[in-house]
Amino acid sequence: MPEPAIQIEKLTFGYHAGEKALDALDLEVRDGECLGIVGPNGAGKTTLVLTLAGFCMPDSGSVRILGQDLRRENLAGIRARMGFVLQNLDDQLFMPTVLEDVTIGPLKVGLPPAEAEAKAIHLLERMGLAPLANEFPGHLSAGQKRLSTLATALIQDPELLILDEPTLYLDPYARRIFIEQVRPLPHTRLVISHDLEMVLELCTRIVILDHGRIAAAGLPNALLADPALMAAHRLEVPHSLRRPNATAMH
Amino acid sequence: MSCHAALELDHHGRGASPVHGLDPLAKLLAAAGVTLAAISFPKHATGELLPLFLFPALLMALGQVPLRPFFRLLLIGLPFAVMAGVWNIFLDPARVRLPSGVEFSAGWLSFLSILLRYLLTAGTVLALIGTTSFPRLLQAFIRLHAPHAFVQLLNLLYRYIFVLTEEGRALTHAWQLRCPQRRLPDPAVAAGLAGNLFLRTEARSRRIYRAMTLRGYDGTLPFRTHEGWTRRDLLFLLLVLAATAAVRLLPLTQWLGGAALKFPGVQ
Repeated sequence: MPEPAIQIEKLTFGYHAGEKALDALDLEVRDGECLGIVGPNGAGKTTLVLTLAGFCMPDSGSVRILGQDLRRENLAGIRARMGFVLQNLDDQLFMPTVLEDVTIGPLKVGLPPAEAEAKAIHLLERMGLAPLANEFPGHLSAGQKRLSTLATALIQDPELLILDEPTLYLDPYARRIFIEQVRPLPHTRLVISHDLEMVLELCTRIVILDHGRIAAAGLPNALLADPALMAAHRLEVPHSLRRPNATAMH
Repeated sequence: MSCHAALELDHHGRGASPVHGLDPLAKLLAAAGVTLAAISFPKHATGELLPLFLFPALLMALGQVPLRPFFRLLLIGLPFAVMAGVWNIFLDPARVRLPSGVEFSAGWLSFLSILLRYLLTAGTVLALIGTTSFPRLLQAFIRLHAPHAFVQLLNLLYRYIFVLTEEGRALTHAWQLRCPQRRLPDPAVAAGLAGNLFLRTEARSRRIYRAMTLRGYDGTLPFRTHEGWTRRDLLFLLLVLAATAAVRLLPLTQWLGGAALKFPGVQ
């Protein structure tokens, strides 16, 4: 049986003394799966992403990513094997053109410029962004920016893809395009989102995070359709799972 | 308002006119040549500077740069130029006598010269922005071997100046919606808004740095530099530099004035 992509044991982290954003969290992301993490505001979802990225180091407990323990000395190596799509679109694109933004990752790991550029153009073509390759990222629409951030992550051939609120700011059309781009990806994926319909479409398994702990874990169709469970964690049954005459929110 | 003008000019910089198509390095060097010539004239030079205005004027005309944002942005710096030059009127001891016998302080001439130089140099920079997209300008700086840190700073500043302006605008809107009857906030509220903007800026810079780190940022960013330098670009640069040198070294305005005086009826 392959080693889990992420293995978290008794992870505790707090921004201030006495507070626990993550409280003895146990979590496993299996190799090849698409795991959704849902939960109310302040549940610890973003803290978890920051921890996996190595920006927050555990107060106690252990985090093992792609077979390596998360430690400062391992960070560069671990990050090079992961792809991140972060919440804020504008924070993630910082180069003068889309093409340059996408090629940064491979150039930084030593790929020759011509090869990196060819790879980036191929990826941008696949996403329908090729005509925008020489555009300034700040001038793109939210949907185009989101696809660009996905391209910046995918070009590094990550073994693990972490998507933090990827459909935030997107209109329904851009959201649909994004989902269709992510759905066929073979990568192990961790999707953190309030967009429960998207989680339902993409994820093979979900966990509900609340107060820094796992409150429930299971199949999306089962968990997200449970009105009592959802209401207990300030969530709502997605529209597509609502039964007629059933109230979605208690 | 000025932000909107800057955005409009910046947007126009991505146009497709023949001037837009010129190599950005050629335009940058030409603009540098004109600027250097402008600042190298003696302090009382006024009429001699006028032919140099042809450069930004031609760039704008051929690149069809919109005049409204151009002049709006030009006006922003004008008070500073006035402040810098107005003291010359009182401090310059030299006197000037016109052929008609009227005498006045040479400070007026140096004041006018400072204003003209400001209009010329700022106008040249704005014309350059209106005819060259920012990424291409950055590439030109790299090809000039400008310090990498300078290019990176310029890139990040440009990338986020609009984002920060949006933050500032969002804060202002939030205040205006809650105090619709007041045009300007109290000093205490204004200080709070400024502090809030600072904190937002700090949080944003942290997020940006994180995103950069995740993509392997180690203190340097790789920029593309390949741009085709054609005969047309070389010709453009040589023409501008030759014309600028002629304006600087030859008494063109005297010749033109002398020639004009030879026309019947002109005295």
